[in-house]
Amino acid sequence: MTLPIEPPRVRTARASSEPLLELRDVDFCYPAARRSAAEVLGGSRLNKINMTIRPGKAHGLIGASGSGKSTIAKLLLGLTAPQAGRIFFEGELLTPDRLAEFRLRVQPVFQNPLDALNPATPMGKQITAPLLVNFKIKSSECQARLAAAISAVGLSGEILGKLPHQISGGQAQRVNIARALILDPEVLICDEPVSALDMTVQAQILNLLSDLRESRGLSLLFISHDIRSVAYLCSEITVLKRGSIVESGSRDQVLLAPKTDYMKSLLSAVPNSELGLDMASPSKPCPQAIGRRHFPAER
Amino acid sequence: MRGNGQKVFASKIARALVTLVLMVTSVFILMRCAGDPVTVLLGPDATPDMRAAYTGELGLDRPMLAQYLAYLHNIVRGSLGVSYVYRQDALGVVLSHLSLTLILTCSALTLAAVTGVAGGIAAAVFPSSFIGRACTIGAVVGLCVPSFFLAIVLMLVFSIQLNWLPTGGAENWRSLVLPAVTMAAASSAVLARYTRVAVREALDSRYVLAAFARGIPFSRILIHHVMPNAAVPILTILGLLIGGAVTGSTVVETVFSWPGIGNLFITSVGNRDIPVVQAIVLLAGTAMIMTNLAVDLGYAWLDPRSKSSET
Amino acid sequence: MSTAWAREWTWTIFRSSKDRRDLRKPPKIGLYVAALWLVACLLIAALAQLISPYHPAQISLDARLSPPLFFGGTLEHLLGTDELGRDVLARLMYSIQISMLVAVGGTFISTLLGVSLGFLAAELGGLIDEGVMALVDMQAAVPFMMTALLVITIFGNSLALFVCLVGLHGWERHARIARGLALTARTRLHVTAARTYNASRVHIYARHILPACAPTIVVGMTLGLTETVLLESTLSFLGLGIQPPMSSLGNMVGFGRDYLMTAWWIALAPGLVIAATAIALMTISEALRQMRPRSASFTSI
Repeated sequence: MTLPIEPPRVRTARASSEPLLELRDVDFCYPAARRSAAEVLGGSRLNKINMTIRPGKAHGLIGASGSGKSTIAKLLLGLTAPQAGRIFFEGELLTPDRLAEFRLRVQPVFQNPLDALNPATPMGKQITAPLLVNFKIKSSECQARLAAAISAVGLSGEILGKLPHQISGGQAQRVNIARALILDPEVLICDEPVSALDMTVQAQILNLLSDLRESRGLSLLFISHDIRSVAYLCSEITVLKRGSIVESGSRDQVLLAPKTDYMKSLLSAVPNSELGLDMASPSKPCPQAIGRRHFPAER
Repeated sequence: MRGNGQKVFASKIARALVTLVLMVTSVFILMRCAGDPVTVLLGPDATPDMRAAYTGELGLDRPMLAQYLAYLHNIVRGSLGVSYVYRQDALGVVLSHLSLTLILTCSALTLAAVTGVAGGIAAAVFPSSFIGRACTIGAVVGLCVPSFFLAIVLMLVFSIQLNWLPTGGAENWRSLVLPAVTMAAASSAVLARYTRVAVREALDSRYVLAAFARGIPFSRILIHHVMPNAAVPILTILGLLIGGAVTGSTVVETVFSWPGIGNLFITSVGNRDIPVVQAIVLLAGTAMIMTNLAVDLGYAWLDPRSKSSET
Repeated sequence: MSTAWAREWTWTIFRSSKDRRDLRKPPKIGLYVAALWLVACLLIAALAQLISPYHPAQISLDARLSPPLFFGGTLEHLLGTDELGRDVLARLMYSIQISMLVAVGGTFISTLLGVSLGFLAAELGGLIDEGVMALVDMQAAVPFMMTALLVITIFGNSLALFVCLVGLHGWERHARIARGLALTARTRLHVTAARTYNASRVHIYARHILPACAPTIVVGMTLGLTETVLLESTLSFLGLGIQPPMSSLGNMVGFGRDYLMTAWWIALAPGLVIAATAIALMTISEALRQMRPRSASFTSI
């Protein structure tokens, strides 16, 4: 494979209506041996999931634990295959032989940043591992990409020689994001990327993701059980309950005019002020959030 | 629940059978690698008549699979060839040596069980005292000093220097002492190590702490709370030691010229008496597999937890 | 008053359980002595040809059965001589060389075999897993001594065959441990992450799973080394391992046995070396085991 040498592309949003990644009628069920455990946790089986992720947009996925959020992330990363239904990438069916190429363009950010790093390898090697595995590359080129990736996530060079137990959770999550970015992907699948971090670091990572989405035209799938962070980051929201989608649409539809009781009860658990104006006010509100300010008045 | 338990039993038995068949098969393959099986089983100086008869019996003119089946059939019938030293059926020769080995191993294992478990408990209960340390160190030494060396040292001291006990043979109880002690040393060390770990673990648990808090005397705690929980690993090891008893005695029997199976084994290996060697390997392997199976099945009976956890 | 005593005593039991980590640490000095002994053995093994005072086969009939230095012997033969007047110290050095070669080679082979089979079973699963585990069961069921003697009876003996045979010993334990560790390690998040950037299976096993298993495998190797030393010496003692004119520690004891009445030192010197080496290896493996957090696969011996 050849390496795309050009600097990180700023993707102009294509016809933004054309979905980049799409799940169609996907069913999934864990194999029998693990089913009993999964059912105890609330039945991790997916039922007729339809979802689209559009280029340059952030898509939020909300649900209680055990509702199948992480399973959707696994499906979208090609780590398991659905029992029924299909996954499309750029309008083409995702098949096992396309998986290698697909993975260069869709990268994950996991929940527990320290677990996602190999405890025995220094950071620098871990960040460049995806490059070395996929491409034949000169070491100078590799160093340049490494420098670009860590500056993009706001890390300093001294972290490169450290081992995972020597850094903090926030730094580890930045390293994870850098490792995902070094392949210059188009989609980041963020599976609860901030749940394991404390509040201030959460805000930093959310802002980082938001910045990256804007500056690189990245699409995000942002999975969380925290409505506030989803409301802050995402323009489209899907709500998952026990393996089925109960609500889906633009952020305003879902948050301001919930159709189902489940969503209403979720919203009522969060103080309204935090979801509304205040939530949109952290350092870098996304454009949709600014547009959104007017809506409460209309109601 | 009951059906499930039976399924587990059945799968364990099936596993044991598979292991047994695998063992027999590897012996078959090894024997075939060794050369012409007629020569191997009848010896170089067999008459042509015997050779012809044996060729027919083993079906050597037939394909490999048929030969294998004939071999299995012979094993099931207990016919493992004719020892060409004793000129008798190999299995019969082995069985005639069995009783002396059993006497030796039984006395050694009894000794090992008593000293090993007692030493292990002492090492667990008084880890910092002199007794405890002595038991811990003794276990390491017992495990590390090879039995042939221990045998020689004991012989040097008790037979040659002090002239208390005979150096070999199997005439009376006096000739049993040294081999039994030598053989018990290693088993006792293994048992002591496992016992120490198991008892220590039980002593560290919350229910023992709770029993102490209720003012139950220590001896009662040891017997009623600690030992039942430490029993499973200890009995497992004891079971495995019993299963391995036939091999365990090989070295000791050779050094003390105790005329049991181990001695027969070494002599037969030296004489290249392959039918007898084969018979001993199959016998010892079967004994070991059966003990393993018994230990596995014993778990369910001893440890109430394993019944529910197998579901 | 007896209750007071009992309370006191109860306290010692529980206090000691709290301080167990410290108490279970082997005395530091013991560890150093063990390490020193092993290094010395390895040095002797490497340099036997250079430092040996005599050639091990050099016969001097006028100095037959000369006792060791402090038991009426002379400075010329520090550990005495055997029935043919060969120097025991020289023979000991060459024996250490052969025994170390067999032990290290055998342990290496068995670890390599066991770990690769364990990883294969864990990664491929299904029938291959079942097959490997059945082999493991068989190896664990049939006493190894039997297998070894059967193989030696049928195939005869040579150094290379003997090393391979010793290498077959203990692979099943490595396989079981490696399989268990790999099954746990491959569900770790960093392995999943590696899979999402197209890392190959070889890459994942070499860079992610092997480093995670390495400490436990090393402990297993030191333990295996202890057993290999004992196994080699036992087989050689029985006359089924190393054959003359080569000598190993075990067969020195074996030949020395015939002269136990008159010349006990011939058998005693190599026997003590075997025991000391095994104890040193055991001490070191205990220390290694306690250095890392306790793992379930190694609560047993």
